[in-house]
Amino acid sequence: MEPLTNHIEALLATKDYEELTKTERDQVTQSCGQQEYEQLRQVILSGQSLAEAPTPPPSLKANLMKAFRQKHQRRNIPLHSLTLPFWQAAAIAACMVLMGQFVRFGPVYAHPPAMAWEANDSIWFKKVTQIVADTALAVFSADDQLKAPKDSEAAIAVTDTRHLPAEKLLPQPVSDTPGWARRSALGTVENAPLLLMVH
Amino acid sequence: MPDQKQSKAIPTDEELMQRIQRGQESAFNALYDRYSQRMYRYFYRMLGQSAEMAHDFTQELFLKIIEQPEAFDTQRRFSTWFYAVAGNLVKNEYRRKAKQPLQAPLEEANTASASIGALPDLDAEVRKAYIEKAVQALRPHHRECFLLRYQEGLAVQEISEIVDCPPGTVKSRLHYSLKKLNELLSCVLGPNA
Repeated sequence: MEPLTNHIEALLATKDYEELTKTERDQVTQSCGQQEYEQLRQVILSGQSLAEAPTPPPSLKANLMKAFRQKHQRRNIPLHSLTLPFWQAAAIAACMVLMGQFVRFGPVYAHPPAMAWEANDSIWFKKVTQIVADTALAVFSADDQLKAPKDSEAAIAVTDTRHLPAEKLLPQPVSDTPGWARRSALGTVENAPLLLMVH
Repeated sequence: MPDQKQSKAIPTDEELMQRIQRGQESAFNALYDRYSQRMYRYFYRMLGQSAEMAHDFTQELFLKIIEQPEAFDTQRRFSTWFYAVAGNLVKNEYRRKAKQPLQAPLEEANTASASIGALPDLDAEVRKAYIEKAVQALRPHHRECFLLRYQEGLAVQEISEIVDCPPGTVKSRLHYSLKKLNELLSCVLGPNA
C-alpha cells in the first residue's frame, strides 16, 4: 500500500467513491485504486461510527460545577465581611480627606499672582491690622484696664474704609461663616504670614 | 444575516476561557457541554475502554481548567491545547503503569478477525465491538492520531500540534493505522462481511 497523499487522505475522510468527481476518481486510480479506496473509506467510517458513544454520566457535570463554584466563591469576598486594622482605615480616611481638599482648593500654589494682589489690598491689610490690634487689646487689657488706648491704636481701630478705592475691595466674607469658608474667600492659609511680611 | 447574528452570539472556545478566567460559571457550563463528550470518549478509547477511567480522567481534565484557568493562553487555539493536556494525562498514565497494558495483542485481534470473518451475518453490535477491539489493537500513538483525525475530525496540522510532532509523522501514523485496521477489519468490512 502506497503512502496516501494529502489530497487522497482528505477525500477518504469526507467522500465515498461514488461521490468523487471524475478528476478525483482519476487521482484515486493513480494513487491506490478503487477497491483499496473503498476499503479504507470503510475503515474511516468505522472509526467515525465510534464517535456515537459513550457519554459521560450526569454526576460528573454536577461534581465539576460544584467544584467551580467552591473555587470561585473564595475569590469573590463580600465587602461586609472585610475587616481592616485601624491604621489602614485611618490612612484610607486621611487619603480621602486630602483628595477632597485637593478637589476643593486645587494645588496649594496654583494661583501665585493672587498673593501679590492681596498684598496691596487695603481691605486685607486693614483686617489683619484690626485683628492684631484687637488681640493686643484683649491680651493687655488686664494690665492696662484703666489706660486708654494710644492714639495710633485707636486710629487703626477706627480706620474709615469708605474712602478706599472700590475696585480693590474684595467681597466681604460673612462673619458667621465657618472657618474653612472664610479661608476660602480670603485666600489660602499659607498667604497670611506672607502678606504680613510684605507689609 | 441571521447566520451572522447567530455566529456572533455564540462565543468561541477562547472567549469562554476568558470568561472562565474571570470566574463566570455559565462559561464553564457551556465549555463543559461542548467538550465533555468528546474528551470522555477520547479517554475511553485511549485507556482501554474503561468507563471508570474515562470518568476519572475527564474529571481531572476539567478540574485543571477550574483550578488553573490562567494556564491557558487565550491567544492560542483552545481545542489544540485541551487535547494536548488530555494526551499528556494519557501518557502519564501509560508511564505510571510502566507498560502499555491497554494495547490488546495484535495476534489476539487477528485470531478474532478470522473467527468473526467466518460468521455469515454480523450483528451491528458485534461488528461495532469488533471495530472497537481493532482500534484498541493499534499502538497508542497510532490510535491517538487515528481517533483525533477520524473520530474527532481534527486537521492533520492541529493533530501535529497536539501530539507535538511534525505533520509528516502524523500522516505516517495515520497511514499505518489505516493499513493495520484495513488488515484487521477486512473480513468484517469487506464485501464478504
